[in-house]
Amino acid sequence: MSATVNVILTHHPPETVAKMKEWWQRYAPGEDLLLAYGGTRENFDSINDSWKVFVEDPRVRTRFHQKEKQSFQGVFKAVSAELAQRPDIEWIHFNECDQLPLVPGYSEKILAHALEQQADAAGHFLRRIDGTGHPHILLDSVEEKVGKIIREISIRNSDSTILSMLGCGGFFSREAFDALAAIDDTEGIYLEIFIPTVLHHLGFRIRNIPSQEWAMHPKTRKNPDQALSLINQGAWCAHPVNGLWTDWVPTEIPQ
Amino acid sequence: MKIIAKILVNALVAILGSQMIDHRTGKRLGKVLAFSWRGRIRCIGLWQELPLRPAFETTKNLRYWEQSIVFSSPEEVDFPNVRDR
Repeated sequence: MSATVNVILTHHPPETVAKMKEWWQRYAPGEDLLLAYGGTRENFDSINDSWKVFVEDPRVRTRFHQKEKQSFQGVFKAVSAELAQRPDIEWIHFNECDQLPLVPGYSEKILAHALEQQADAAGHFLRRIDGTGHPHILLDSVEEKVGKIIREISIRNSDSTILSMLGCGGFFSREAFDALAAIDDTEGIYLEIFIPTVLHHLGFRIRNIPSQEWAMHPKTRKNPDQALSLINQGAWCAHPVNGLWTDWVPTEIPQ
Repeated sequence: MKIIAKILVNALVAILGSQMIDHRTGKRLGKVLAFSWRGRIRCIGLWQELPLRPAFETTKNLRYWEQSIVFSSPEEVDFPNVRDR
């Protein structure tokens, strides 16, 4: 089996992180768990018994993510540097903390999809958006800004493709992840556009995970009961789950 | 207030809007209210998941007096890895 690390981006206090970690370890047995911490330095220092990395970049700490052009490049750079000590890791499964894995081997299922599709990266709601009315690309002449980055990095001839993908999670080969982390967002582009577009123009093959979109839809916020009920409908993971880890911590999986 | 305004706009689109069709796939996308205002064509109700590309529809006959603007979803993202080439 390929070695996968589950990277979880969180800002929660240590006691909450411990609960989250326990749940994740139950659903990803044998896989490494790396905490990318976007909270305070004090809380980070108080997190014990964890493989962890602190994220300095202020662009991850946004409130209105789209308007403030939230970026995960600081996260990816920190994780990529941390993974330098682990050459055995072949795949990186990146997750935000508002995701609730619902099946054991969640990462393995995405890995199987990526391998079947011969993809270097996979994500949810992957769409081509250049020339469209997608709200993210209409804001602040993003198409022009992305064009500058494409001209600098693209190895695809005369390709002006711009992609969008849900930012809450992504699955990357080691090569794709490290190559993505090495690129700086000099133009201030929202991460949901930056990540898939840069990967595409670096020459990687990126694929959608269509079978799980219904459970990951960002506009349908789930309460914990709703999230757990998705197991019976075949969901691998629920997103976004209200109050997850802070107000409510799952203890048992309904059969 | 925002929620009430959203409900009212939704009701307006449902009553006055016309069915939007994805020009590429023929799929029905729901109702959209399109109208001209201050030199621009405004579209209200394009809240479906697929991003859409507007374009003038091609015609079989030469027609000077009228053109149609249609909306199409881009094709599925399915590009090969080109790093090894």
